[in-house]
Formats: sequence, C-alpha cells, structure tokens
Amino acid sequence: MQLEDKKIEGILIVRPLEKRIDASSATDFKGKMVDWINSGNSRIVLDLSGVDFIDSSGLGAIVSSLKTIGTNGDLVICGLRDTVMSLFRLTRMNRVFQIFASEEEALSALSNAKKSC
Amino acid sequence: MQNATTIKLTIESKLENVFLIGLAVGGICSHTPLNETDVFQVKLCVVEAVNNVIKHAYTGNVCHDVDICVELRPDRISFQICDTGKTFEYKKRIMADFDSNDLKTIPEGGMGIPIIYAVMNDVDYNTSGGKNILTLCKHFG
Repeated sequence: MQLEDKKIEGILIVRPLEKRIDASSATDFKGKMVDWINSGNSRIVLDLSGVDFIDSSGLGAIVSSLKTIGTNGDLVICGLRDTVMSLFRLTRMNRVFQIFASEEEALSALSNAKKSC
Repeated sequence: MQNATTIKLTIESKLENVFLIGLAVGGICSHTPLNETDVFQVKLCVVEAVNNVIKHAYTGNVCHDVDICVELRPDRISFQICDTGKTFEYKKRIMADFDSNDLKTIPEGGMGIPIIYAVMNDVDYNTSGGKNILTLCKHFG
C-alpha cells in the first residue's frame, strides 16, 4: 500500500495515496504504521482525506496502529469523509479516535497537547 | 409480485478482487433512492460478506468462485452471496462492548457481522446442496 509521509515539528503525518484501506491492503498498511511507530514516531496524524472506502479489516489495522502507540503517544485522524465516518460511528470507533476536519487542526491539537504536558 | 431486475457477478476468491464487487454494488445502489451514506454502508456490507467467504469459507484458498446475485426491486435491493466452501456462522451479533479509554478492550476484528446486521434490514444464511447462500436485503425509505 502506498503511503505518503512527512514530518512537521516532530509530528508524523501519514496520508494513504490509495482510495481504499481494505482486507487486501490492511496488513501492509499496519506493517508500515508499526515500522514508523517502532522507529520512534509517537505523535501521528493519519490523513484520510483521499480515502473513500475502509472495511472492517482496514479499520482493524488503524485500531491496531493506535494500540501499538499505546498510552505513550497519540494517533489522531483528519479529513474523514462523511461516508467513511459512518463506519466509525457504526463501530463506535468515533469514540476511540480524535477526529479532526483538517491536517491543520490535527497538528494544532497534537502540538498543544505536547505543550501542556 | 413486484418486478425485479437481476445481475449476477462472479469473482475468483482473492481479496484483491473484492473491490470490483464494491464498485459494482456502489454503482447499482447509486441509482436507487438510497442516500450516499446508505450506499456506502450497503457496499460495505457486501464487501464484508465477500471477505468472509474468501477468508473463512474458502480459508484463503484461491481458484474458487464467489457468486453475487443482485436483485433490484422498486422498494428494496437484495444480494445473494454464494460459495461452495465451509459453512460460516452467521448468527446475529452486535458490536462488542468496549471502554473507549481502555485500549486493551478495543476490538481489532470481528466487526464485519455486527456491521451487516446493523445496516441491513434482513439477513438470512442457508446451506443447500453444498452451496452456502447469504441473503442481504436493504429496504428503501
């Protein structure tokens, strides 16, 4: 699965370049996320603005990434389309993840969270 | 009996083929009274069902057929997802309870069937003559 990554002020922004995170790509997605987390990235923004379909396997891979970070960091989501958001609501994962409308809002929230520690 | 139009689709049992079914289902549903979110959720349910066939009925083995029959009526759309693999447990399940503040309790899997039951109006699973048939039905309005 193709993912674009960049770092802004110590925060890793990951953006899938493919429209789907599904059963065929979930394992690869999770593997790449775990590699970044194990490399020391503890504050991550997952930009899903280009994703128009996620199935339960894809969602499970995102949850697994969150669990890998654990309580030592943050994985937040931005750019979620209304349709994909409905999957998060169906599964109550909208209560698990902080979800922001834009990359800017997500970065601001993670930056402020660090400053308040 | 209300008039029905039918289309039959078949893919080989590979996960990388499932998106084609999603595209077809999304395209058909976009010409029904279902709104954009409903179309997404119906597409999701069919994808989940086909994923279950590939992963569990055929245990990941390729070179098997997954047949999907789409039946469109004025007041509903139905899908029959058929396979000749292992029988799968399709009893009604809801999303497991979890504490959103406790990472250990948050599920990473097992969400497919709860999603199907949450979205679809009717879910029926039958086995006959070595063929498993999952029927999903979504009503309009």
